[in-house]
Amino acid sequence: MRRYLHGLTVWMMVGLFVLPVVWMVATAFKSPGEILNAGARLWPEQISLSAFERLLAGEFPLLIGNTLLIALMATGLSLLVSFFSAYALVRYRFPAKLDGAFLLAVLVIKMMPPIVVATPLYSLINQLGLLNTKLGLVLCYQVYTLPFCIWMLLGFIRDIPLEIEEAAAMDGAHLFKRLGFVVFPLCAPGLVATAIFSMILGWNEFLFSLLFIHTPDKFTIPLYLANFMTEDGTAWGELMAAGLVSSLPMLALAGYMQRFLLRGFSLGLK
Amino acid sequence: MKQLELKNVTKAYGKQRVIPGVDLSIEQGEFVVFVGPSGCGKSTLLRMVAGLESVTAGDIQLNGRSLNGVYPSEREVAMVFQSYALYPHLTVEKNMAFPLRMAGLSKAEALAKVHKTAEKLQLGALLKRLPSELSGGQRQRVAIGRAIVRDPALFLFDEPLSNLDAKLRGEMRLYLKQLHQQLGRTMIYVTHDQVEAMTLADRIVVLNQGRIEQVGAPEVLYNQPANRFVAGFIGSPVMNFVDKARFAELGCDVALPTHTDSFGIRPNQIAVAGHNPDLLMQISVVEPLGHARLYYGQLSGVSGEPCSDIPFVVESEVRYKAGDLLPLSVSESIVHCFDSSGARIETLGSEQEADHAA
Repeated sequence: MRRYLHGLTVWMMVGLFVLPVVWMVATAFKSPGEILNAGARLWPEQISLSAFERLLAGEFPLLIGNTLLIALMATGLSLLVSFFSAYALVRYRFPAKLDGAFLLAVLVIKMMPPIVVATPLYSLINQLGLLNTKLGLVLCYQVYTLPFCIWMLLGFIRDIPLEIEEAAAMDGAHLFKRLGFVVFPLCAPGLVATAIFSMILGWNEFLFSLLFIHTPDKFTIPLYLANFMTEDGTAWGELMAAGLVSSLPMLALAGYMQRFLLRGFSLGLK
Repeated sequence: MKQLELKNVTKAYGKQRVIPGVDLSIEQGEFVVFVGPSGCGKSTLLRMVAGLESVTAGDIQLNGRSLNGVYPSEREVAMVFQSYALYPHLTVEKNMAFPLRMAGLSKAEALAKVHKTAEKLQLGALLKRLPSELSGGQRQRVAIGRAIVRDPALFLFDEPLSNLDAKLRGEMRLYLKQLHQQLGRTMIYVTHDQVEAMTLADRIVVLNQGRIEQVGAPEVLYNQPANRFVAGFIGSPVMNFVDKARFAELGCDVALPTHTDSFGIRPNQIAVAGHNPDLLMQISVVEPLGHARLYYGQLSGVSGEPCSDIPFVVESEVRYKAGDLLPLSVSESIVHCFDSSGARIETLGSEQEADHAA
């Protein structure tokens, strides 16, 4: 009896999380008429691709590319900077506990509501002439992604035994060779995990792109999705179809990267 | 020929001096073992030779060249770590080729050297495996291979066998000894295990709290320990120490030098007397070793005094059981005498032994 109850609870929890996704998929394949008339019916009576057709005819494909590029650039920049910073924070001694203070400051910035930093960022980006550009957005996203990446990588780099690096130093690898040939490959699984999460952060970001991007051809996907909800009503079909399509790249990325994640962890550092 | 010289080498962390100034010279081709309890500074000393720790004061010279400020890889020194420190993402072949590639050798040259060394160390079959697919002993052999392939002037071993089980440790000890004979290179080996030190070393350096207590061949350290610390550290089972004043209460008639404060007797050197014992020992615990037995107990005099609380250990082939009184005979030649500072006092017996050892 307890086992059944346990199973039931698990399935209910799964249902709770999966239902909105199923709803999104189902609605994406309904015809506009059916969306409005069918009430609470889940599955479409007839599979209709009209929402996708309308979507693909518009700016959507371009914007997917836009968003992907911005998320990739933001992640790349964050990983590069955070790899070196995390390494320095782990391996070097800082005077007067500056390293701890730095990490705390980074965390505080990350915990602040984004809207707090939005105004200063706006004026900064404006002065740099990067308003309404991809680069400007990539730089702004560092406020989210960089603290996250530093904190994530900190743990992975700490896990690399110091003796391995000492052995490399004795074998003739100076700092940068050591970073490239030993530290980087050993924390590759960590870098992959961090990259996935950072990509998702960049992919889903809404507020900064709303504030710093003005022309529709430079919109990111979350911004574009918001445009389906207008004063005159919500274009449910397009919204759901766009939601479905835009969640696929991240799903594919996570699925693809997971292989490296597992392979990396099975190397056995210790 | 002197190869490595440590001149007043000092190490301090902040105000705490962990090594207050060590002088030592090591000959070409010697196998020297640094031994001491944990925290005695033996690993720190080794790491300073390797270049992994800075030298606070003093000078380390290899073949007449000062190593101060020289990067670890430019010291012609290779090191084998306790945890093996193999690169987990590289195969055995690539692990061994790593130092050669870093030194700028082409891939073909590096691999040729690796294969030659691997053959010598019987690692040929393992070359394509990852470290995680090897046993502890194999990993250690790969780590040694990675050190050898560079053909360094000096090998450093930092407790390389302490992660292995007892049987494998014995095998690897033999392996290292053969390797040393085969290569004829200078090796410095750090361990806290005095058995390893005794079996491997040409010369042992006993360290205590950053200071050298004694340097010498294993037999010299065993037979003529310079002080109580060395006497207690070298030899297994550990030497028995007895205060002279307390010993006098037992009414035992053994002539000791006048300055003697305490003396030591090795458990395997004291004889079990057939008749007319000098001392008795009340046995409390018996440990059979197979070839002999270890008796733990308290000393007591022969003329019926109550048992003292002086602990004593005897190793003997003679069979007794717990609760028995073990009759012992003490001769002056097996007694190591120490003064109140713990330093050795030479006795007639020890001089004879020294002649014998020489």
